[in-house]
Amino acid sequence: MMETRWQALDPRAALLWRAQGVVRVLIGLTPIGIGLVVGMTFLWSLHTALVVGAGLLGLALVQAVTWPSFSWRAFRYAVRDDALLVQQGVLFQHTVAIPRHRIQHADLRQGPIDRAWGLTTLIVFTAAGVGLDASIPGLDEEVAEKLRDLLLKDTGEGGI
Amino acid sequence: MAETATPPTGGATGWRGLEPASLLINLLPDLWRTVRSGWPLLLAIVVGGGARSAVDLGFLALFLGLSLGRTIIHFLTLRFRLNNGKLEIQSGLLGRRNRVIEPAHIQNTELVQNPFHRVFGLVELRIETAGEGGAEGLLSALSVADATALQNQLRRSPGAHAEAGAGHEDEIEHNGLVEVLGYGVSVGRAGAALVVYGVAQEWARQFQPTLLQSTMARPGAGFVLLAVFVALGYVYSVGSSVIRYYGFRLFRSTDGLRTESGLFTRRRVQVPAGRVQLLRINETVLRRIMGYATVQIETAGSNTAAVQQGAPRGAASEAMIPMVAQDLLPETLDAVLPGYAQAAPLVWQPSAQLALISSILRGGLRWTLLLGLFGHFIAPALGFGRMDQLGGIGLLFGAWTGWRDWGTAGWKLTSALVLVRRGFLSRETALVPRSKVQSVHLLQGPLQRRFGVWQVHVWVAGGTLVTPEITEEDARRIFGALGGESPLSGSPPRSGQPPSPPGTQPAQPSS
Repeated sequence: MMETRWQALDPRAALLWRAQGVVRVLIGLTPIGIGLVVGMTFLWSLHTALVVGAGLLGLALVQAVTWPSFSWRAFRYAVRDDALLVQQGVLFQHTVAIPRHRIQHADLRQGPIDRAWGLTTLIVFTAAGVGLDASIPGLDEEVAEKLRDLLLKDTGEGGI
Repeated sequence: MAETATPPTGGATGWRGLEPASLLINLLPDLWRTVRSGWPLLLAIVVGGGARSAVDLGFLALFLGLSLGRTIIHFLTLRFRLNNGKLEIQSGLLGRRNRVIEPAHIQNTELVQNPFHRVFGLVELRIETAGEGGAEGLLSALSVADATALQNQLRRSPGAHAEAGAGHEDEIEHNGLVEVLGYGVSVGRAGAALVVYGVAQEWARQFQPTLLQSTMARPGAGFVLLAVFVALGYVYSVGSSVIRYYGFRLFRSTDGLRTESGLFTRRRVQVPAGRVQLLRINETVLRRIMGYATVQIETAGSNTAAVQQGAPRGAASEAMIPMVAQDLLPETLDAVLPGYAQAAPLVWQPSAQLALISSILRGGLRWTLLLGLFGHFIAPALGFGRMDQLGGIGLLFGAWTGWRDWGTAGWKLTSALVLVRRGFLSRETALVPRSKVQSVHLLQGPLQRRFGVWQVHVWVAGGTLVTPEITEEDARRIFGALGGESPLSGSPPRSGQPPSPPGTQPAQPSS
């Protein structure tokens, strides 16, 4: 039986996700929160609206800070001789197996926060569609490059 | 055909262009595209009492001029040739485009002949590959002989999926007018008719309230109006089916499959051998009563285009057999996808026992909402008064269909195929050759975890096959067979901490 050696993500990935989550909440949700508070003043007093708005923002921040730990623990991947396996998801669990010879190409992507942390996302494509088939975020740059080269080394016929 | 002065070099034929009649054939579709893209402006001209002032006429002339210019440029600049067996297409005046299509990458070719083509004895050749969305090669006006010759040359080029000695074709399916009419009726447009009816009533309420009141005051008027709209929906459905599938025929040769159909615009789709990725067999209740099924044939070609345009995966099909008699279905499927016969007899593996609960819940919720909303909002508009009790009937009916959905669902793995069947009222069976599987996905949501059931999604280049909710053991079998050793083996699928590789310590997240 072929051994599956599961790999966890770089621990910095959880930190990265936290930072991204907090930025998303502050930039994306704060204007919505202010709008909600203004709207709620028509129903309640300003004080109540501010308390409810601050509470919602606080909950979103707590979620952004704590959830990445669960996501990090749920994420794992394995490169076998025959296939790439990626498992993720806390509430909705998703495991994908991509036969190695089916891999068409692989991308390495880095956003500004990823770059600051020295992390990279590896995205793997097959001929199945126009979207990505699997992605492994939070990889150390060097590890990501090695993994990409390994996956593209023996991709076989890859026919459709 | 317009020949250019470029001589053939090496293994290349000379550059060729479109027939001059393409100027007329392409002008109308291009004008239509221009009108569609500039419809707000045209609407303003028409509603504003336009086409009278010089400015309005100037805009209309601009639309016509743009289309005319594009059509002329297209005719003058489009050139194609076969270069070492590959199709090379050049086009564009300012932005030149040169595209080389490898015969080995061609998923299907299509000859389309609309009434304008027919007048001039021409045809449009569309070539689809798996590489990009849409027709990658589009030659809009060739003579039938040239298009067929080019199609054959591409099929016989090195690397193309054709076998030596190909040529003889067997007709394996033919739909007469009655069958096409039956298909149109079984497609149904009752839902769309209801929506149109609702919109029309809302429009009348806003702009013709007295007319609406006087009409609806008559007894049974609402019901009659609804029946008229539903009937119109069916007329539209049957009419569009006849226009699209009249004279449908399916042929098989060693080259692959070929379909032809169409009342006004004839479409001839060629699917090379070995390019079929996915088959879907749709058997709605009405079709089952008629004793027929519809078969959709998917390749890697237009599905990517459809997905790019926002359609769900698997929504587009390269070719479709509108109606296949149930007793002829096994041999037709075996002709389309060799290996099917070995899968018969189809003894389905059942879905998980506990999936029955979620199936009943889903069915009950769906029909309660549907009939509840109908009884609360639409029934009063029809003059029947509020019928909230329909929600309760919907709950019971939905629970029954959920139970029947669960009983219908099943899966099967053979040495060559993956087969899945789902749905009771609208039964669909999907078949995927195992050799075409690109990736396998194992999914479990929170409710499914509660019941200990899983779903497996099998991705191929032509779409996705989704299993019903199955047990962990069955999920492991399918996942292991298609994606290598199952990751579920050994320990439970998720224990909170991913197992670390031997000899290493699992990493801990920073806090």
